[in-house]
Amino acid sequence: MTAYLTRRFLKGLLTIFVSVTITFFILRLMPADPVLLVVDPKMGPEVQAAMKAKFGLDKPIGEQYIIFLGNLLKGDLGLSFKTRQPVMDVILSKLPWTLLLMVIVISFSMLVGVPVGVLAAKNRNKGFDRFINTFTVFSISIFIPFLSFAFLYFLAYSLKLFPTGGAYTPPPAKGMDYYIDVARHAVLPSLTLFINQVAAIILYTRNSMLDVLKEDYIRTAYSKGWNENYVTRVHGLKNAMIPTITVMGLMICSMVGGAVMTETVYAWPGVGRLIYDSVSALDYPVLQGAFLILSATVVVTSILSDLVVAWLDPRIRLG
Amino acid sequence: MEAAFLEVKNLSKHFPIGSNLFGKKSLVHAINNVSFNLYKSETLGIVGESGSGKSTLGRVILKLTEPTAGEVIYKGRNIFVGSEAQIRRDMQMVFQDPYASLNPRMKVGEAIAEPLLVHKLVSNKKQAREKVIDLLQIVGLQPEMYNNYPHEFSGGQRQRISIARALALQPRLLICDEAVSALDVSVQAQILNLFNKLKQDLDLTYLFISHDLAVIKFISTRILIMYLGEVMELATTAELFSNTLHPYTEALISAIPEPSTQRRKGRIILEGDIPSAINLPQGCKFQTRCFKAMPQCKTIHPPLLETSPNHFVRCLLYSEQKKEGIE
Amino acid sequence: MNTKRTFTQTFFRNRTAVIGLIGVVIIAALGILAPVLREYPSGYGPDLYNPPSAKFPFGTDALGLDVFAEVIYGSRTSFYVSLMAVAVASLIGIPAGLISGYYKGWIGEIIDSTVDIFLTLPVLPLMIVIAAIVGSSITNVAIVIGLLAWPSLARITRNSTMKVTEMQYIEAARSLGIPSGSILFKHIFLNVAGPVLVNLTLVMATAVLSESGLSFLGLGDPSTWSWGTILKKAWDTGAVIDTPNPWWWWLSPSLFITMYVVCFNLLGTGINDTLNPKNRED
Repeated sequence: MTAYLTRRFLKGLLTIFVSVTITFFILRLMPADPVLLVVDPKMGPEVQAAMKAKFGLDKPIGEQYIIFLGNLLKGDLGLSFKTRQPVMDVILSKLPWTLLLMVIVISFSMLVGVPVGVLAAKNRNKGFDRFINTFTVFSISIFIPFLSFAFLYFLAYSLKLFPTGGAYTPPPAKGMDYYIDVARHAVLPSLTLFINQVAAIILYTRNSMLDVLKEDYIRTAYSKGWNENYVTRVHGLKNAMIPTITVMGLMICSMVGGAVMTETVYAWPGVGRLIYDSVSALDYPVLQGAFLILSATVVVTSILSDLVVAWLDPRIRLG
Repeated sequence: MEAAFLEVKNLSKHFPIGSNLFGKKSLVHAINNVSFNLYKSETLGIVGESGSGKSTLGRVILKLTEPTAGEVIYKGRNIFVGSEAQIRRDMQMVFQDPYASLNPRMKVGEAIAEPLLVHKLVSNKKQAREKVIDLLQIVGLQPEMYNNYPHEFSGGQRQRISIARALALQPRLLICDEAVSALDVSVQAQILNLFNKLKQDLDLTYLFISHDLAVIKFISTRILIMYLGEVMELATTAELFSNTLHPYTEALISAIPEPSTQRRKGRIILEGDIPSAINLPQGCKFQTRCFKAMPQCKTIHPPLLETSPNHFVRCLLYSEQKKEGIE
Repeated sequence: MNTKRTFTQTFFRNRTAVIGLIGVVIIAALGILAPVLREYPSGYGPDLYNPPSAKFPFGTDALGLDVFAEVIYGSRTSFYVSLMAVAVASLIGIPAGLISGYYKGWIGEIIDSTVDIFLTLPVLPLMIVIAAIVGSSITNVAIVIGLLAWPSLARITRNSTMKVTEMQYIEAARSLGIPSGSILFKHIFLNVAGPVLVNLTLVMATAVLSESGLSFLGLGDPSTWSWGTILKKAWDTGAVIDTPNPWWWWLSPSLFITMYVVCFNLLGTGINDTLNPKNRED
């Protein structure tokens, strides 16, 4: 087990290292000279030199890389080209919004997806299952902006049930009103991401359930005369949960991409929207930093979910 | 004494599997210190139950896997040293599963032609096609079958195709690894007869591996009994059945189904568990199930001895009558 | 001798497969016939924000251009991008998968670890970062998508290769002295082509989702018409929540995206079912 953990951890570190290196070198390969983004040609030469030195752009690329890595370890992701604020601060101010969205979506996906998946497995090939099959095919394929537009059009524009964007209607209210306002604003973005992600949970649960139900030890339990629900619940679910936890980890990874699109359309002030804004503004340090944070989140999540699975599955735990 | 066509000397093959907590690997002792000679134009039948190592033996001789120790001498040199091109030409294998030994996505004729083209035994596809049709006819199939795919044939026909493919390179030795075990009994008989005919027509030598002693009895001139990776008994077919020495051989023979009720003798049922190939027992490997076991069998590992000309046995029951032994 | 039904016969009996195929063919046909059906949309037109009519089946946009024309020229872009992405992904991914599946040694491990790393990284953000740098020509976008699609293709190829390598006919080929290269790129490839083809249809589908996403975020090629750029233009002018609402403008490209993706998915499922009738328990 420890061998497995160490290998897993090392691989995670390597992944983060790769993403760090990729972003660093790619951003240096830009056709546009990064210096020009920082330095205003109207500035005098001494000011230009000072600015360059401040951003470390006057040193050779190898040295810049080392400095970059060193800064990373200190939590310093550089300064935003646009606002001159530390990138880390910018990202940290946006991160909670994205996390809020993710927590809502994951919770509802599990709450709804698991029972639906179980139900679909138990009613194989009957009406409900067929409906679920069609639903999942569409919801996985749907283009997130399209889904958002549909919601915005019907629920926000026509029926005026929900606001059309942002996390709250400025100026921010106080106390309970604030939370309610945020909640109202969160409905459409979460709903959009939810539809996109729940299909994965449903399918996974359904297929694991089907596999497990076919196994011999389930038949043994039935033949011992146990109540069908009990068997499904106790024996089936416990073993079907293992891949479900893996899927939850995978969900976080795939949600990151969806979050970028969703937050952009709904103007939700999270890290996803930050990526879009930084691309438009050519604010490369922020883009780089946001990407790194997202990669790190994804890597850590997948390691954690692997650990939980390893702990749950006695076959892995005992080696 | 005739010179051997193939000499197997002290061949061992151990497979590492898994690793426990401390990273130590366990070894499966598939074959241990196996030695025997193979003579030209004979059919040496190798019998054993699953786990006896007989399939591994076939694969090692064919150089499909490297041995852990030992040599195989062919044409005066150890086949494990140096290139294998000549080996590939002279020795071929017919595999067990007719459904898995032919590439489902290749036309049957092309599968047989491929080795001819690869080894440049023909200079173009047209010549290859002619040769393939010859081979198809030798094994009793029609030339039109060239363009069909494996799934269009029955099990027996597929084995014939596999045999044709194995014969493409004009080998001198054919190793048949459970070549008829997956076939219906009636088809088995046809294929066994085909083997005998080919042996005569093409002057082949066979190493015939099977778990079925009845099949081995029919086709073999000499029989080698294997148990847990070791040679237990080796003798001509007639000698093995008339003068059975090893208790394991006795048990195997008694298990052959006998149609006539008058000649049905008592079946020997072996009790006890087959030891694991990872942790082999000390002493004689068979003593855990042997009905003639003696106390010393637990500790002394019997050597392989030639108790009468060309009859070898590995059993302490016969160690008193020692003559020249092969260890 | 018994002959099983050919691939085509089984395929056409599968309803989902046929639906998928028809959808794909329709979109492809519209794309191929685009120059015949409509002029390339550019510049301005007199009729702004017209709802769908006989003259403009999908209405007009904020510049008075025919949305139907935009959409059918967009399907050319979609096919171009998908096919390019598939080509790039296959050129790298299939050999990588074959080699890492067949050779057990360190080379297989290295390839597989690389695949692992890329599969863990968040794809869209990485695409955004790279696309932001390499610029927005449509070919570049396609190549970037392909470069991020090869790892999953390699993984599928590797898994299938590992299964096929254990088959007796591969052992037979080795004992016949067939060289490794032939075994890998002929014998094994012929047998993994099925699952790989299924995965390629999925790559076609996700490529369009990615391209539409990148175009929508402004990283696409503004000079070519693609469904994503149409949506971006609609979004930028506030068409979704505008009054009166030009719903036709953003609805038709979205429907085409959905149709493209769904149909390629169905096609992939159909091919999969045709290849493994035993696995179709549903």
